[in-house]
Amino acid sequence: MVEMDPLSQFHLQSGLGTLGRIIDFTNSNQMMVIAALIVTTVMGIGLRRAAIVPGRMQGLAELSYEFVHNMVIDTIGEEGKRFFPFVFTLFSFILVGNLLGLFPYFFAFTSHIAITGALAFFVFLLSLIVGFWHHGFRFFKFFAPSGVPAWLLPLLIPIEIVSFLSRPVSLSVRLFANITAGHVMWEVFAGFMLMLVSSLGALGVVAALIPLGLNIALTALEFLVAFLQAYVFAILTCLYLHDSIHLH
Amino acid sequence: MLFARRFWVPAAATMITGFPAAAFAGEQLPQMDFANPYTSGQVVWMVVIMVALYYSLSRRALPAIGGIIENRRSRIAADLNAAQEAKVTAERTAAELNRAIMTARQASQALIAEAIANAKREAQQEAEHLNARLATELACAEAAIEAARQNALAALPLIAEDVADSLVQRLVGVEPDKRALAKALKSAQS
Repeated sequence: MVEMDPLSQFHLQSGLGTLGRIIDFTNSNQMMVIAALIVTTVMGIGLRRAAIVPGRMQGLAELSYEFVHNMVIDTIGEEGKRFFPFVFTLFSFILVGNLLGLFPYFFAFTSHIAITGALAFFVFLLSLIVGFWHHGFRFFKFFAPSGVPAWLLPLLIPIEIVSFLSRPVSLSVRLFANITAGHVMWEVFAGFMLMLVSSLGALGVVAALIPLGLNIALTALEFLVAFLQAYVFAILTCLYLHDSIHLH
Repeated sequence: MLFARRFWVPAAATMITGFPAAAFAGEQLPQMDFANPYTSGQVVWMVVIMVALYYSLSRRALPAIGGIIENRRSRIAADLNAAQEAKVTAERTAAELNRAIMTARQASQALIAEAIANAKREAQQEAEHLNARLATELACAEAAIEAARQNALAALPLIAEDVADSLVQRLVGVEPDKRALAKALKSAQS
């Protein structure tokens, strides 16, 4: 029987050898550094030539710039320009982290609730600060939308407050659960293949083709999820900032 | 657009999240092992890495790329503008050229008409001049002929008298009486 633990891939260890153990640098932080380096490299190479007619790398850099820029401006409005670098950092960091996690033996740091929770909590905090910065204490009117009959308010205000407070939870759990689930399923199917081969021999090899096909299909799905979840995280951040600035 | 996004994104996300969350309920996830100091400790390093990433992107990369895009946009706008101006200039030049051609054509036609008129007038003058000279010469000639004729006519009776005298002398052999002869001639003439 093959030893199989689909959850071991999420175990945190120290990264960077002995030095990492001293400064509490983990294998997930290692991947974050790689992700940040990839982002800065792509964006850096892209603007090295600064050509009027862009090459491939510059095209990639400009495409990602305009994609996030349009998302921020379309969702938040012109005031959103200030948050563009933040949203871009968030989006590129999560996207590259998701994509790096797809490689075998690489650590997917977006599969950790502590990481996604910290990101989501920061977004929540930022939207609160922006809301109070723009509206002062009138920001509380966010929980009592105008045009609602007074008798509905006792019901509506608690609902609004709960939905507002659940934002960081749903934001973090969504990313964490998607990435974790995909990686667990991958490993479960892969372990199933090994189990079939070791217990059924030649017949098992043929039967193992089914989970192999499933894993291939799952790879395509996980690729989509990596993009989609980064996009969802970024667009929800934009939406929350929009709500803080415009109060619905 | 905004309305649609506000609702379908959370709705889709809830559906995607619901299924896997149920799959491993009850198992001990390493992510939930908060007794492990690494679980929360990785966040500190993430903050450091993200702040560094944010600064390098917001200070250098993003403004530079924004500048490139803005630069291209203004360059394209300037090129389009220049092309528009060139087009207007070309059209104006073409119009001027046409006008110049028209003017030149009109001027040349006027010149041609004038030249033709001049030539006609000169030819007419020449012809009149010639006619006048011919008329004078004709008149002179006619006068000369008339004079010659008068002379000839004046000489005619004398010749007739001589002829008659000689005829009579031959025929009759006598010298005729001059006076009678003249009388006879005169009666014959009339």
